Amino acid sequence: MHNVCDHRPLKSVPWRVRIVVGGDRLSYPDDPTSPSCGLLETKIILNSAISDAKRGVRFCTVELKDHFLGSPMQRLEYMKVPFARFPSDIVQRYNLDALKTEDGYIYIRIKKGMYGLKQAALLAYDNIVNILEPHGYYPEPNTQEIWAHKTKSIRFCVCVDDFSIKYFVTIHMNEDWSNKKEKNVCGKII
Amino acid sequence: MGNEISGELKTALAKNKIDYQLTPPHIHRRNTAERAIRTFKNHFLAGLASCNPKLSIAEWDRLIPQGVLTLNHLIHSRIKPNLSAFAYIYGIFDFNTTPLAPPGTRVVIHEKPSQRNSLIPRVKVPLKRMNKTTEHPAAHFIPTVPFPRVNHIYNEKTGKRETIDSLLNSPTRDVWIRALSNEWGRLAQGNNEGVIYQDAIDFIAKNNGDITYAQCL
Repeated sequence: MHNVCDHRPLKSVPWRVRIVVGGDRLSYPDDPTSPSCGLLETKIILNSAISDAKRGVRFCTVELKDHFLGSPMQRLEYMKVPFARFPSDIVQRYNLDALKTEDGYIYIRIKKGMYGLKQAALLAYDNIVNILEPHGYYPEPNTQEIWAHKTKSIRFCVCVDDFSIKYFVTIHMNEDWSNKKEKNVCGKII
Repeated sequence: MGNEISGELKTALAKNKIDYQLTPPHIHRRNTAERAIRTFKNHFLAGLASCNPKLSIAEWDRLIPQGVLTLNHLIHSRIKPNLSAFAYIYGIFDFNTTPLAPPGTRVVIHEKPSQRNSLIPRVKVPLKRMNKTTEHPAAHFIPTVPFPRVNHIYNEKTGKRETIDSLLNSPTRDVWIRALSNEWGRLAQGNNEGVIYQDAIDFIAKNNGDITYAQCL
């Protein structure tokens, strides 16, 4: 485990700590690679939007907040963290004194994707597939990461949790991307 | 932009009322982007030349954010010339909150009595990289600074960045303890600050029968 600290003065919470799992020391038996769009797919979507400008196309970007942490994981992972790394309020709230081992560690079960895991990107991709497919979205054949809708005129490319969406009808967009259920499943859409 | 853009792009730009200029081929001084690159390189190299000689030149890329920040303060916005380029995009920059120093300045850090022997110097002298808005209060020559800042301090002996442990022992420890608490709460099931949690981890006892293999990280 590693703590990454940064000061981001333009963010709502400038002082940030991100706990990153030591994925390099954990094994993953399957292929952890996941499809991801590249510059080519992004340019295709952008050029397509420009070309359809005369037809009234609209374009927007969407980011899923905390999407990595919201990706369920079938194969659980475990880690242990020195007890001294926990603030006192966390110790009290979770009664960590009772869980502390003799050598001064706290054991943790990881249930969802976390930064640093080898399979984190794959989990995030699977989560997106599980969310989008029931709503009629499918990956375009012969492309890396361009998605389309079966009936609506919406196309987008996705890179982990960032979407570039080309659409024509605002109502279609609001139906699928402002749904409260989606917010609960994959984090807050910002 | 280059004069080889497509007719469709020209039409789209005109329809959306986007101004553009075409440049003749092979004449970079007529190309605004190329001219901007030249300005940045001159500015960045000037900053690089002012670094402490002991700063490893391999760390040059870490100085880029500060180079961008200071250059954007020096040039005017083309849309609103009475503002700097930075102010036009991000708003007013608060120099009190995030004072700037020349890049690669050599600083000293006070070492706590519990972390040193009694007869060794009270400070250690690492190399600091000053980037965008950051600076470590414990490494600053002025002991009282109004706001906490993250450390981008590199240990002179190991060449590594200081860690969360040094932050938690710094004068700004309260801020970082709260940030760490928020992160644990976000991963687990919340904390006393009411952070939105994701329920990604559980704290478990070692002997609960779940763990079959553990590796020290």
